[in-house]
Amino acid sequence: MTTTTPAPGQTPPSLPTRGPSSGGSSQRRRSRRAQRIADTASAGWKLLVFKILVLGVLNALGVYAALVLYASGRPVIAALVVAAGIFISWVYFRRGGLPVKYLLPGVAFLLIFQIFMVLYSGYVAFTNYGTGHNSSKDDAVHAIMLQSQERVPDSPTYQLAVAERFGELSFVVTDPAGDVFIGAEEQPLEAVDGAVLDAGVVVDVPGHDVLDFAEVLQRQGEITQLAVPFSEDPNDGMLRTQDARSAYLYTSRYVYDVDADTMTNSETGTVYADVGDGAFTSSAGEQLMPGWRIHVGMDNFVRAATEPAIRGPLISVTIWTFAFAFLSVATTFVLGLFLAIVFNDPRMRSRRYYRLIMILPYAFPGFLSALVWAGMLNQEFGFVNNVLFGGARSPG
Amino acid sequence: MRANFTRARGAGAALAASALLLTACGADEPTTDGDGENEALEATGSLTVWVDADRADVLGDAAADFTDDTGIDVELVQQDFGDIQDQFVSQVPTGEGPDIAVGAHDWLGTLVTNGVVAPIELGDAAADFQDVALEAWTYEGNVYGLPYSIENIAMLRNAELAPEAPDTYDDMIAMGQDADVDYPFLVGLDPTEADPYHLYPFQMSFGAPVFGTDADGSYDADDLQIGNDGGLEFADWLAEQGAEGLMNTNIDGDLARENFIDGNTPFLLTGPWNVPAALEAGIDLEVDPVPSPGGEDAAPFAGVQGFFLSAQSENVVAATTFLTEYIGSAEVQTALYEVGGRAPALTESFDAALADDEIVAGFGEVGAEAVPMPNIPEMGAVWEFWGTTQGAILNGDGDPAELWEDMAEDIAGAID
Repeated sequence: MTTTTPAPGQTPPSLPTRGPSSGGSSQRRRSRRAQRIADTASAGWKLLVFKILVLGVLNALGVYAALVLYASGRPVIAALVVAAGIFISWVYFRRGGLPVKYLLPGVAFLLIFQIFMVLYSGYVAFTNYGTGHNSSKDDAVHAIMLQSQERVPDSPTYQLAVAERFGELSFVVTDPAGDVFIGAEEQPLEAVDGAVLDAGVVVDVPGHDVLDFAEVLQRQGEITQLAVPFSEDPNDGMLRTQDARSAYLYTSRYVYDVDADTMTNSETGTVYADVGDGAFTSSAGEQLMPGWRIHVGMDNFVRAATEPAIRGPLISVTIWTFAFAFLSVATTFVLGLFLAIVFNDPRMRSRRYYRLIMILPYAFPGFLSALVWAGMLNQEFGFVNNVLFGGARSPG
Repeated sequence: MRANFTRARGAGAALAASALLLTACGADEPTTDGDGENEALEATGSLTVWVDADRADVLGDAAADFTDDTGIDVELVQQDFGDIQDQFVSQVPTGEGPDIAVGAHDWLGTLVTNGVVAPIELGDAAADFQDVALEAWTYEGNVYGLPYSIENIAMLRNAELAPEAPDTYDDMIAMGQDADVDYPFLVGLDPTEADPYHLYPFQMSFGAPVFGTDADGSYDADDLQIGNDGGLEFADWLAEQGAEGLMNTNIDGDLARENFIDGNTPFLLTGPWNVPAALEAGIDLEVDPVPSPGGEDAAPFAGVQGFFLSAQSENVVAATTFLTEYIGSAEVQTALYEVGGRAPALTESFDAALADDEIVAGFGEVGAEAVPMPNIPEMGAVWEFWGTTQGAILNGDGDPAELWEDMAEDIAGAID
């Protein structure tokens, strides 16, 4: 750094001292100087404490954020946060480097709100992100499985209690006839004797603990994932529950094969495989929605350039964007300059009134003007046509 | 000078603090896909519900009861109703979405295609709701939301000018002409886009719905009905209305309302949103079914609002219980009706509301016979061409049958 600029935090260069013979006045001056140095020093001290506090809070938050990010499996971003924290502390604790101290916040905001956004938008352009492709493949599988549950037509509502044995959950259900059945993940429903019922719901069953509502809530994730086969034949469907009080018999339209990574339609037998298009696709090209986000390289750009339905509007919009940028500057400048010259010319009569009319629209909000003008320009009932043009019908 | 430096540096540090915070928040956005699976199985013991300001108070009471009964906290987050659909679609995959949100049934196509909404099984409780409300929230055979209100248009009548409800459209026009006022009948239209939503009951009366329905009552995008013979008849009829000046695209919704309030027309085809202005003006108001010009029932579109469940909810049992037992209770449905003024979806509350208020009864009776606005995504392609074609027909810009056929072709093309 240059030495001509006094860096903040440094004491001011000492004043040239005079000889001891200067007497009383010099003593007064010296005490004033001491006072000033003390002031400066204490200001620096306060500033230092402030700096430590603010940067301390900032770094504490940064460390916390980094730990959370690291724990959730994003080490790169965690490292970036740490690096940013170190960099900011270094900038503000070192002597000198005043321009950086001024520029850093602005640059940081520029990075976050402008550059990051631009880069992110650019990144999205190389993916298939959009309706039907807005999440991960796991989410898509989850959603397809949820959506393809079909309740077996005319099947009854089973009143449900959730029971537990050795940590494994079972459904204990009462059918409308009052018969009690029990079943679990790998164990189809079978009749059970000796169950105690209260208003149709099983409250006790031999060999199992029936969960109360609080326990149900603690394990609600497991309970809503649980599917109990109705019989040995998988086509009879599975009992599932959403509210842990009633169970229904469902068949699933699609069966997900984890190993083969395919969806199979259980009615038609059509197999939908992940062929890299971001959705399960059948050999006939039919896709199951939702799909998921994938990188598609230049596909979006190729489509924009080759598909006439997109290319036409894209070209017009691009031309108009440039035309608008140019025209909006040029017309306001040319027209504005013209009006400024005209309204400023002493030969122009009643300049004051024209200026007043000029400035009036600033007082109205834009949307209000739009509404008012739409009303005034109404072909049949508008002020312009009725009063100014004597009610002439406009052609067309 | 020094004081300035000090201040500037203080401000700089504060700015940097927020900058780093933002860096931390902003930076984790691009990498959010693909996680959330790990945490999906652990219950948090609290529900998050997105709700708009009008519904928040009622939901607050229901949530307090729920917390008392179950010990589960409910966090209500207020959102602008119009923002909820987009926010829900973008936030559910990040794991930041709510368990439950409020919305309109015609969002379903988008929500289901994006896999962000989970079906709910109402079981025997399904029979307690109005048919149109459940149909509206049904998508490909599954019910995806718990409905709470039904909104639709109906014919408002100024009983001083027209004492009797008309049986048919022609009746209505005759009564309107007898009343000796400026307009026999009004509906608010746009100069170029007309208004397919308000004109739909007339179109329906010619037997021309937009889409056919499949076995379970869902709309079938492959069965486009709008261009059928009834549609062509409707197009001809619409051209006549335009030519005779019975429907005027220069009269927008505001003008139509003002004319009705000023007693310049006995009939106004509109929704409940214009009722307060008419009552305030002291109009002797009656609400009738839409009179049919085509012979068949003139059923308007119904918009049904409801609450739906996130596909990524970690609290399915608690959320389903809150939906079906609390929001689906007569108490809450009636309370929601009291703040919203629209007919409730639960039949028990629906009947009570209709007995309580004649205006609501008028709209509710029409609503019970209404058809749900299609919730399939293909509807977007329909809106695009539908309004401009109606506008052109009303303004006499071409042969009505030709325009209508072109429109049907364009829609079919856009859907494929």
